[in-house]
Amino acid sequence: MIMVFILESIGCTMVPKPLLQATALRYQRHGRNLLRDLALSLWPGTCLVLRGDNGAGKSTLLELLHGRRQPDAGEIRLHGRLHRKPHPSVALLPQHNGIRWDTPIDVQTLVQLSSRLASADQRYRIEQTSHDFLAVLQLETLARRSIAALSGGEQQRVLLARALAQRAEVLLLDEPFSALDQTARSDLAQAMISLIKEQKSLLIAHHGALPAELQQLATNDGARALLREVTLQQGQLW
Amino acid sequence: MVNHTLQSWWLIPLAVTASAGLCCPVLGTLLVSQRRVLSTQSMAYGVLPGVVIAAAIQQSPLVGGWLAAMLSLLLAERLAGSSHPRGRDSLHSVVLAGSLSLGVLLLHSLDQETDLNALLFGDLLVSGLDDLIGIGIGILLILLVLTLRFEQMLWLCVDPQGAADAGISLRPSQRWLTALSAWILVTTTQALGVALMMALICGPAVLALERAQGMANALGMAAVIGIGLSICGFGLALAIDWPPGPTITILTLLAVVAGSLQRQEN
Repeated sequence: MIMVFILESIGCTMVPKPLLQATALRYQRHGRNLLRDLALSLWPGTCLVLRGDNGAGKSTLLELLHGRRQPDAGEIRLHGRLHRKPHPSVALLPQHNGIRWDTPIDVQTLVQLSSRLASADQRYRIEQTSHDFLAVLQLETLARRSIAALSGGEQQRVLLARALAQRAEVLLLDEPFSALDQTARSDLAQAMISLIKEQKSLLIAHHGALPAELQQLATNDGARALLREVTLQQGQLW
Repeated sequence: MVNHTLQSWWLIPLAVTASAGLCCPVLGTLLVSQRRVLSTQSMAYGVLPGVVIAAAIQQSPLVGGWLAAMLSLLLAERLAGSSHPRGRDSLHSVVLAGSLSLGVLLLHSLDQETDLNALLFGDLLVSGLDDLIGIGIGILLILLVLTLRFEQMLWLCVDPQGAADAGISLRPSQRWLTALSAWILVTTTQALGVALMMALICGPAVLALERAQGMANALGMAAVIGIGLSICGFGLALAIDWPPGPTITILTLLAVVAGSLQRQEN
């Protein structure tokens, strides 16, 4: 920290390392090359928007980065270490999650679920901070509400809170704004901005126009833009 | 002394009924939440061939039934796992029908009659200490699983894929639950029969899950509903000289219908 202070005071900015880095990724499905030597880096405190046609491989790329699937070739590194299977630091919010929303539990229980299998110390810390995560995502008033009573937008924000509770630093979101109305999209976008300010890295697979709140991040803020857009086409990022 | 003994002949059957009314709904709450009712049903009908074979080779019917239940589940899940999602329920149903038929054929080959009434509804009135002990062990095992593995059960109910995504393995817990289900199915089949057992597994669970505020609350509620329905059904059957198995089953059906009507009104 002292070195950072000294360097920054003489005008040298510390370049953060990417949280997640993929190199030369290849993936084939049903005889089709979905990804061809794809390279990608995700930095803390930034948002990468991944665009592409239906069937381009956006969801597959997210699953590869998460560890749910394995690439045919190439490597993925998380904090510089080889990343081959699901890790708590990388959270995937798929387009169609398998959560049984009719289970009789409340929002706080769902968010803290990741903590329940941790050690007693970790559990205490996560339960203390899960309330903070709920507050960051404007969910405090919903803490005791049954998850069956949540709207689509509230469900998405609860899943974000859960990802934070499991200490995820990289959040991979597949079409998070689909099936949400204007207000819900705006609320979710605000929640994402809060996460970016917390130095999380977001990768959002998305069609169409982004909510205005997120579009504002696309301008340079000092040394780097907080939001970048790339297109997945013919197996590569453009 | 004789009068007292004669008057208390119903005590053990009542205790068996109440115990089954406790353990089946608690198990059922977990299974209904995890969408595993159909696979449990295929296990239930898979018990019969195992019991028949074990009896024929003079081995423990309990062990034979338990092994057969596990095998039928493995077969159903193996077939379902490699098939298209739309066919999975159908495959479970085929395994269910096949297991039942295998049991009937085995009985036929041993020159034994198939007592359909006993198969579907058991015979609560002649249930004994062995049945009570078997179901009692099932209750202890459920309490053990819920005490030691409650969070894993919660993950299995809410988001098994999410657990895998978070690097949490639920396979051991799933196996424990399957083994426990097989035990309860085998120990309750003789006294309750398959139809009553499935009614007690599903009915109270459905009612509780619709009203409970949390999973622990749902488990407790299901147990209370199950015990209530079982004891009331047993008492009603004695009072009007009906067989208790079908009586409890009908009472469970009426409770589910009433619950559904109340929910629609709300």
